[in-house]
Amino acid sequence: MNDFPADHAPVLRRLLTAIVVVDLLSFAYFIESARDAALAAGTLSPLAAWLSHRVLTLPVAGAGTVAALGFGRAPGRLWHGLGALLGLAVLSTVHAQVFGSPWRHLFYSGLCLAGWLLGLLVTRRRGRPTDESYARVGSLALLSAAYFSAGISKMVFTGPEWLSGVPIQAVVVSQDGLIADGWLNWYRTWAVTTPAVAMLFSIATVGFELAAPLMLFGRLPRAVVALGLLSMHANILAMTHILYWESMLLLVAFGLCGPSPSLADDGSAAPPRSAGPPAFALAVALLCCAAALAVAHQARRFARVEAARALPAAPAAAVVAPASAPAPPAPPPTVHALRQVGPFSVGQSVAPGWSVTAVDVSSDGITTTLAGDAGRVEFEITCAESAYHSPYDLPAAHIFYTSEVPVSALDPPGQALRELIERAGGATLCARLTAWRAAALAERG
Amino acid sequence: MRPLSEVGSAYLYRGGLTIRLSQRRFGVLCLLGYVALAWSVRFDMRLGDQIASLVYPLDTFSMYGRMPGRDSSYALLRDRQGRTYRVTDFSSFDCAEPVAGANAQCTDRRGIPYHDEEMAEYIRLHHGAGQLDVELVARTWTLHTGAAPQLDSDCIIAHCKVAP
Repeated sequence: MNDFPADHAPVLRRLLTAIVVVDLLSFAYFIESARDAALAAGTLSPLAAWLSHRVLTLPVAGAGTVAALGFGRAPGRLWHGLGALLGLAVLSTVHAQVFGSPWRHLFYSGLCLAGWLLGLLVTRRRGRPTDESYARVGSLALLSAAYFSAGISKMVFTGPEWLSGVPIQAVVVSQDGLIADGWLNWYRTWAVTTPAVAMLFSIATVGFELAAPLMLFGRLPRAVVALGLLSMHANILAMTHILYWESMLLLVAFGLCGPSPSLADDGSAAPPRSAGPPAFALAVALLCCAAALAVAHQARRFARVEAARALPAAPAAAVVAPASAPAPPAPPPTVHALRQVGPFSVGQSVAPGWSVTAVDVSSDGITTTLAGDAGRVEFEITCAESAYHSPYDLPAAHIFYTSEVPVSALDPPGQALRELIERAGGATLCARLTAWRAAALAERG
Repeated sequence: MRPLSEVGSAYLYRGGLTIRLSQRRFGVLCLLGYVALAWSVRFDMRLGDQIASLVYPLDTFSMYGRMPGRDSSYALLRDRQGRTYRVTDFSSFDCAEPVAGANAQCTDRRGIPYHDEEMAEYIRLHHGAGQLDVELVARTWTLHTGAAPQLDSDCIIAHCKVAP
């Protein structure tokens, strides 16, 4: 592992600084752009609107940049690095709130910076504050952890089926449309329409991701895994136009050049103490247990939603009408499980924590079942006349519901569904509802 | 690093091993700690469930971890001969129907939402006269394990006149 001159440390630190600065400044731009889009779409909450205003984001980006530049200028500047990391964290959080999801390509600089700072903490505690040998290992470790997590997620959320190649086919088709406009498109089309090739790419992707921790175990495995991950990114770029330049640069820097375990840079200190084998083994065992429990917890959450999707919508007590009133019409028996009806498709997120688990047609409308932590609720959208009303009714249509969910928890999904139908149906909602229902019936046969 | 002459070889050997092992152990603990923390808490957000960890830079990088639906769509332009183009291949659009919003067609099969938003924004910003008649369509493929994607349908979003 001792394969890299110690004076490369400043180069790595400055490269990391440069990427951090670019990401800090990019965040300011991306937040502005996401803010405009969210304002236009009406999805920006007042708090997010306030937090994403440039009066706040630009100073944060500026302060983070100043801190990052300070970090890059000399070894051991822990507080400067923390300032830059805090800036990235604040801007990333604001951006995720405004956009609706985090942008992962902007995480790699923060990862490596965090790992670097953890290493500085260790050497600082050992009386060598400018020694960056641990810092470089810390960066490599967290970079490895990111890819390892990506590999775990594919196995946890999909399992071996991910290796079939279908996810790669789906991503390429939805990112590119297979439009014939050049030699790269020929390559994409060939890869996507040749199942064995798509499968090979899937296996290689998961294999290199799960092998990422090997980058901590020697020069050769580090180079092999880093090259494999770089090839994966290059292939993603060729097939989908998605460029992860930050992670590619960091893989070259920390994976191919690599950290160099070395004596203290100042050459004055005694060799650092290392945790004894029993203490290390105990720490590894505890962290492995914690990681396994955390992954299992997320897998269970995911499986619960998937299981709810697989179940047919269960009839429940009517809560929309007076107690004596009949429940809204139940959906007909499912002949062929539909995955999409009108603007609803199974798996679609309708409101935070609420996603569609089933769709169907009713006697004169369509139904959609939403599942969330509070339980399940089935909505029926119909333009048929009724003596009953629901709080989510639109001028042209009723939105009835049957629910096992407490009334207090119904409002977020109810309002979100109402807005979704209003947007999708527009001024001709009832005509569209008829068309959605007819299309669903035709699909179901 | 100190030159070899400054330290005894036995010390360097022992010290070097200690450092290597110590750094590797540190790296392993960092990695495991990150995985445990990143996976422990996952928040739902507007664009998906279990999509964000506790704090930056923690994440599980699960963006492509889930199996896609059985179909996949992409918005493109189709001329009368059936040739297809990217929206960005043209710089002037005059569309007869809305391409976004409540009155737009094919809202249920537009593919990746942010692509759809970018496409609508591009057309809005490049409004102008055109000569070539095209249809803006949401093209859908169905996906099956072990087979090539099958072209399923084109849903017409709008009829447009475009110019390069």
